[in-house]
Amino acid sequence: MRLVSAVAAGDPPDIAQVGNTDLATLVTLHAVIAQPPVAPDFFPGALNVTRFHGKYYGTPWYVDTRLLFYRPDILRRAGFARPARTWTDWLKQMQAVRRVLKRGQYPLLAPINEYAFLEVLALQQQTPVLRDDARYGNFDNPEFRAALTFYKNLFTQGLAPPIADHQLINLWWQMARGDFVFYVSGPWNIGEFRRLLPPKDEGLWMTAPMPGPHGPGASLIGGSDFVIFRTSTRKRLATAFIRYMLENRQQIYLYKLTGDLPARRGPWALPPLAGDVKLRAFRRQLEHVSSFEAIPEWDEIMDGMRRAAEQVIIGGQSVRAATRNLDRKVNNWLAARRQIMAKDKTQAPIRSGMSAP
Amino acid sequence: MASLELSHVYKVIGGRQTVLHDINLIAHHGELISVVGPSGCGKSTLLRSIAGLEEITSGDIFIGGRRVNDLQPQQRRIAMVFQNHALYPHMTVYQNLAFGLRARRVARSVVETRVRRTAVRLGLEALLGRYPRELSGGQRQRTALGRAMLRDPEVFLLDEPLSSLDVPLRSEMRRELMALHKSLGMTMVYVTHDQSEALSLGERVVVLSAGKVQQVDTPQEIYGNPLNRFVAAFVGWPPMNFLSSEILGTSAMDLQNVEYGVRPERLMLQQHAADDLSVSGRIECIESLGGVWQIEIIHNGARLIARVPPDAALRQDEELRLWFGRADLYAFHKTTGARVKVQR
Amino acid sequence: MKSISGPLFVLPALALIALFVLIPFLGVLGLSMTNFDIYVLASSANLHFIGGANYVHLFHDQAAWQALETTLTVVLAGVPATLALSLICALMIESIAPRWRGLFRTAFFLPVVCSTVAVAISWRYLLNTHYGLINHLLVAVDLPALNWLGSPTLAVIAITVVVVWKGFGYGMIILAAARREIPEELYDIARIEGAGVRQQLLSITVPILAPTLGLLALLDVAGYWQLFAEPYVLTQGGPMGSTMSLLLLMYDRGFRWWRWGVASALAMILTVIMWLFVWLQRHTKTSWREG
Repeated sequence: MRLVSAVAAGDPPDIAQVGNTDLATLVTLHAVIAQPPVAPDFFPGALNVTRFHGKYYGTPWYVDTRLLFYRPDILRRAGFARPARTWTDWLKQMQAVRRVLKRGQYPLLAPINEYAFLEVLALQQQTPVLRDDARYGNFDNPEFRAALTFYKNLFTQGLAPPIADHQLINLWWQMARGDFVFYVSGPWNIGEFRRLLPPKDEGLWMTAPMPGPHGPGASLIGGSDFVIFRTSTRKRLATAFIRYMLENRQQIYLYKLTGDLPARRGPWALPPLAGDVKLRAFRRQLEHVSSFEAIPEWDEIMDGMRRAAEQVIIGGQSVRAATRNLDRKVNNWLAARRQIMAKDKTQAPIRSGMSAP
Repeated sequence: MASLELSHVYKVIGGRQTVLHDINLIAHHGELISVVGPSGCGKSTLLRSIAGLEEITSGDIFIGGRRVNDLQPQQRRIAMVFQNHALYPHMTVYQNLAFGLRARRVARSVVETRVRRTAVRLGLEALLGRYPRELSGGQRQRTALGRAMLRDPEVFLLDEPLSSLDVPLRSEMRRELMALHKSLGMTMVYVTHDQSEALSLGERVVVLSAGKVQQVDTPQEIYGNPLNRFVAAFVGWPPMNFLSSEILGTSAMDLQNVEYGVRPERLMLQQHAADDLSVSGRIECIESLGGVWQIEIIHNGARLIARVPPDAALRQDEELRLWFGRADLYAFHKTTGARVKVQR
Repeated sequence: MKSISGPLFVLPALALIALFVLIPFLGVLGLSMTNFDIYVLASSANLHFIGGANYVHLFHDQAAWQALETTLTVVLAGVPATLALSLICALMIESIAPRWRGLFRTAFFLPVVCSTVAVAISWRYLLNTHYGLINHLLVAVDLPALNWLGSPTLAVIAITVVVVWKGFGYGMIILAAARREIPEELYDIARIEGAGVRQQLLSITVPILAPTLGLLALLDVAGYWQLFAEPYVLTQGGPMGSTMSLLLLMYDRGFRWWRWGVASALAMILTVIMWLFVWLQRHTKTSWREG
């Protein structure tokens, strides 16, 4: 990330817009200051990810979460009025859908080089994937193994092709062709579908909340937060700017420009967000979002998780061996963090996420 | 039996450009024939056609009595030496010499014997391990000759083999080449653009111009009895002086539509015979070449060159009369360039 | 005066080399023996000298060995393939009618001047399992469609193909120029001596071009060890890390996971490997010019 270089060079900007893991990195570097929430109606999940040691270090600007994009017409053809709410039903649905598809078409697209989908599946479980204040890996637990098994079965049962996203020609066009019926993705794809498909195809796709292991499932909170750098000499101006950017008008304007979803509930009650049928699933899902710990090592750990899944799906490794291996690697990556925490806890900040005690 | 015979050989490129025009030539066994002409006259093409490196359009080529038109170069019993020697830079002298024998899958021991014998003959035995870039020009030349000799050819083709050497080396190599020819007794066709080389080497000389044979004869005849204006002008240095009948004035013979020529070395400062002819003009420049002086005079706007013995009396810008015998005067038809007999 | 003027002349060049090569090299060497990571950036008090620990870590890191194997495979397969293709195309171009030469030369050289990223994206489409042209052609001649970028083995082959395709035009231009420098008389002599086309190629053309081929091999080896953009765009190192090159691994460790110490150690290892290869090549006699 270029901001890390800027901090290393001692010349960061006043304000920046950063993602969740990057926020953790900047907090670790003591580069940004805490700021109280500027509005009362943030989605709690969004606000929560900016909290470290009980203080808020970022202001959520826009949010995203992952949920289902799907083909309602094909689902109906397979005999279903709406997407399933539980994993088991979803599996059955996909198996039924497969029967109405042609060769080379799949019920689900889950690119194996993206970890968000598997991260959501892991997040829907009660047991976190790191333990002891994110000092150790905890992937080798029954719940994560169940999530990974569910994920693996999608590929081994031929419900999803084991391909990476760069093996797609044109996702939207392929969805419209019926190459894939379900796809787990974020809100930006609402805009992309509308931009890249002709208006007559608007009815070919729909959104729905994530199915969970036992009922409607949680999903991941993503998005972007404003941070103010410690070195800034214009902190009051920076705060005023952030406050302005979070007003309804600006939040709606941002949505119209980019499709990024407002982090506050307020703008959602106003048009055009209020009337958009495809946003409803997002509105509902956003009340049901969560996240893992944000630590600087998080992206590396998720990348490791993705690779472990690849080993299972393509390499034929057992789920058990893969999770054990993954824990061993993660413990390695967290060695520096453990050392720092042993010396001085404040140097290795942790967001109050889902870490096991 | 003729070693090499060309009969009505034509080469036409692209249906329009005639590079060789009705070439007829016979070389007897053991004869050294030099082919001379200005650049672009077709002499290299002629040689390459004999070698089979280029196809002829029509006519026949016989080597050792065998028609070779349809034979590949390696079947024609010829060897060739090129101007740039064409030695393989990545091979030693030994490897260069052995290349052809190896290509023909001659037994290793035979190759060894023959290469060594040829190397000894050419004085290359100490250089067999060297690469071409480590050789002098003369040594490279000898290697190229050696490689050609190892082919044991019926006809030896040489394409300006000496022109890449510097002058002192060139005359030395020329002598070596003649000695070699004599001892090998091989038929050689020697192509050059240098008329003095052609005259000194060739037992017979072929003068070529614009793809046509102008004259084939002994060096003495080519020099003393040129068949046309081209041969007269091309052979001899400095070149022949050409005079119109007007310049020569009343003393000339009563021939119509001719141009006269006289060689610089035939012009004299004194009259020797009563019927000698003369021209006079202003001395433009005097050049001392040591034992002989080269004088240029301007006569009625025409420039004449003479080679005379040194004479201290000669002064620049003075008038000078030059004499020559009637026998030394040549006449050529003004439009065809053909030699016209002068009544003596 | 005479004794110092020489050193004075090379001083600016030496200074530049020191500034842009030697100092960074020593910097990386130093960095590779520290634990430099995100926590060190947060507080320099966390910086420790750890000797060869990063190297030991890499020695036990299966991903590093895999990256080494992948990169070595691309070098060992890609360099000879590039040279062969360069040579074949150079000889072909020099033997066809001059009016077609420009067209082919441009066509073969085009990949060299194209942006690697654009080229890789185009290949992504060509190699697509369902819609790609290559699989369409395979199916058209009754061969099975292949999962080019999805299979660990095929992905390495695909990367090598793209790398070779991207690079061979450069060697072709150089070799065509070198071929033009060989006098035609050498081939005339060969014909007179009865050497066939194959023999002409093997005993004249290839040996004479050997020094040029050696130089190209050196450049290609150095270039292919630094494989990065092709896997970065085509496969992002996947599937299962099969196309992760050493440089891509270094990028991940250094610029994605903030492990600069380990990344520096990787950079040092890559440097040493390339030195080794250059040294090996210089001590293998490929050139008649060296005598």
